[in-house]
Amino acid sequence: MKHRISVLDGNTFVVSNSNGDIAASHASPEGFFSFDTRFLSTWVLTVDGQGLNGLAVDDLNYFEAKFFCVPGEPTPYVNATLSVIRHRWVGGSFDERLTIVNHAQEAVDLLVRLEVASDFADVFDVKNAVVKQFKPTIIVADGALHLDYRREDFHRTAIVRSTEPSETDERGMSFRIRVEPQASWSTLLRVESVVRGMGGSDVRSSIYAEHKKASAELAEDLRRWFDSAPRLETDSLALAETYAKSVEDLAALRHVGMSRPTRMPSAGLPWFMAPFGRDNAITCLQTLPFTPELTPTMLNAFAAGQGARLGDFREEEPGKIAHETRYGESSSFEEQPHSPYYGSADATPLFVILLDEYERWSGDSTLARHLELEARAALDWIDTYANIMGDGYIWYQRRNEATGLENQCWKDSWDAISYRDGRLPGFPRATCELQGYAYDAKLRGARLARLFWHDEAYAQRLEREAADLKARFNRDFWIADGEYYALALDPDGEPVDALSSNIGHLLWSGIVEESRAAMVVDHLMGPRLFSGWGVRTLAEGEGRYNPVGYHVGTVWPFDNSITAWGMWRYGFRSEAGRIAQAIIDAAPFFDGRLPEVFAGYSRQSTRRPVGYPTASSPQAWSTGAPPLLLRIMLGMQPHGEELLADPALPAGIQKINLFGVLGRWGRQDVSAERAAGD
Amino acid sequence: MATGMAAVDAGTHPADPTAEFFAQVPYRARTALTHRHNGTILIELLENGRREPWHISVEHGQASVSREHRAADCTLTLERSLFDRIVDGEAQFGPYLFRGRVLLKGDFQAFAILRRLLPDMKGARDPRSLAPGRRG
Repeated sequence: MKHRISVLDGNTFVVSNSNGDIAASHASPEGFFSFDTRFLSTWVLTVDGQGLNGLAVDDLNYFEAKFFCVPGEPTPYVNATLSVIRHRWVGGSFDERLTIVNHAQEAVDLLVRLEVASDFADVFDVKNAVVKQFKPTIIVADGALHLDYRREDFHRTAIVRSTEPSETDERGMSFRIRVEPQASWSTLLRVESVVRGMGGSDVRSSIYAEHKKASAELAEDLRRWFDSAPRLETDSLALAETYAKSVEDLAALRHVGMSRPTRMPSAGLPWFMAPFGRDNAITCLQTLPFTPELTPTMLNAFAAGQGARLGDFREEEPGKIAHETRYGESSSFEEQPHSPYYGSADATPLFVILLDEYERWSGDSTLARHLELEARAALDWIDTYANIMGDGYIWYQRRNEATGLENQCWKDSWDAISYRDGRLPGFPRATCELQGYAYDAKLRGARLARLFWHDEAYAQRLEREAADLKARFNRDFWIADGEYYALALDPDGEPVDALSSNIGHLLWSGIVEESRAAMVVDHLMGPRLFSGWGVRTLAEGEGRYNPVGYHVGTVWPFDNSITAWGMWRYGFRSEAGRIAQAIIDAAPFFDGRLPEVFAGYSRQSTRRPVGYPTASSPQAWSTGAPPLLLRIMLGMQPHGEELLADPALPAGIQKINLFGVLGRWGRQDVSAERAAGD
Repeated sequence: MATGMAAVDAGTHPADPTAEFFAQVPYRARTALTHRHNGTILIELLENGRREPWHISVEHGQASVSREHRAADCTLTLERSLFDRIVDGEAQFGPYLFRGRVLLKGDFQAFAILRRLLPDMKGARDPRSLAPGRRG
């Protein structure tokens, strides 16, 4: 697999080869992207006609990298006498400081050439390998290169400039330079992306305060971010490394939303650099004790974008929380529905769950009161528009048959929901974890109603409904001969009987009857689901099981963190610890950065977790897994105004000290040490 | 109010959807907003080189409309023909915000209030209508 290097700042990012070049095809995800449009697809440097050989990359931090290169292929007989250093960063624009050092005793005359082009592909064109029909126009003016793309009133521009004089033509820039012995030459290249709106000005400037930041500001912001996150001390190098990487990647994935000048997470690089209801809600839930500032921004953004009207194309319904928002060409011309798209059956209950969890940690009762209307609308949605079959469960069935999602749960690929024998059920479908979320949302909504909305009658009604839902769920979804919960109900109300990781989410929600929890845990830790590197999405032996199938046999770190949280909730501390240990053991194989997903092969057969070919990385909810696993191992839980901790460390970790856990108590340290001989 | 709403929701085209929409705003607000909603929105509609201002003021969920060009938390500028289609349930703001058709300035929260006042999309189905075997 080709090694790619990324620098990013929210939804502006650059993905290149390891020598810093971008040479994207229509279907490969290299380029300079912003707001779901690729502003550069070619950025190739040569020196005297020779390509660069990348020797090393220094990932300085998420928004900045340095590439150390030499021209030409290396040979053992000829020493390179030139170094080429490309130091790049993003912060609104994409900047690259290009430096060429002459190590020889004589001066050299060089032709430095930078090939520049853009296809202005929409991120969905790249994902779906679509070749664009419209071509950009290219204008050279005052030494700058203007790449201009128009389709009707959709208008994007990339402007490339150099601080050193260049010979600029329509295909790039040339620099004829002389470099003295032991001296260097340097230029600063800057690529501006312009998202043109009405009147030609940048849309972003009329809405948000900050969309451009200098790298010094970004560095200062990152330093503050690191200072603010709790500090970890542990004997587990793998845990220390993946936690540090998580804190940094959570900073990297933040982007400025439409509704607030503050920042919230994008879901993942390269495909999901956009607001996603489900992913963002779960990321916030995972990270509340660590980076709590993400959550109020997210809750306000969810509320501002909450569905208000019925619409089939975007699958909008009153009260529903948006699934995905995009700003590119395919959304602008309604070739894709993400303006925003509401095709998700879980973001709405997760919104209520997050609001309650946030208040428990932060004590921010103002926001809990402020979002009453939106939270009530979300709870109403569960009983109305989601209740498609009229039996009180959350169901989904797409109304946008052309571009909507068939599966509107987290396992949203087409083949994710199946019976044991591999058959696919009809629609609508009611997956089990959705019912768990609904149960949890009702109970948490009841707490909010009682404490902050001063509506005791509503609180009691929600509690009655939750109790009733739990009883029905345990009757209708339980598969007696297998002793686990069905993956879903089909339109006839019959169980879709595959054994899946979804049952782990049920533990988290608390909808599992106490007497059945041990059976559910036994399945999750059994050889069919537990690979040794984590719990698989679908059990080995099921008709559609495939260890490299996106949602049908792979291991997702986020999924495992939720399952471990569920085991903790039911008191299965050592099992939760085993899952935490497995995921932490996997992290060093990815340099501490847990990817979206890895393969479900058994640990006995692969000594390392096998990467999934097109996994996103960093991916917000994978980034959120190590913080949540820390919370679980330390047994941290807010209780009134206090933070309670009841640690249970897995066998491979002797000590965890976490300094400065944030919450309504201010900051508090939590320590855990395994006694000798434990 | 009832007759105006019925005409829009039944799928016929009112002669002047924009005027009809603004006439209904105070009534729509009663069901779509609550006392927590506050904000002002100025909508500038462009037609034949003219700018036609419509100002919505929401105080504790009570909406009032004026034709004056007054300062607002959020200003939207767009062609009247597009606004006609939006308030007639044939188009949405979303796809037009990142191209040169709608200029949105100011507070997005106030814009979110306007979104709550819009009618359903034409021909939109309630998801519950898709299930033939409804049990409830």
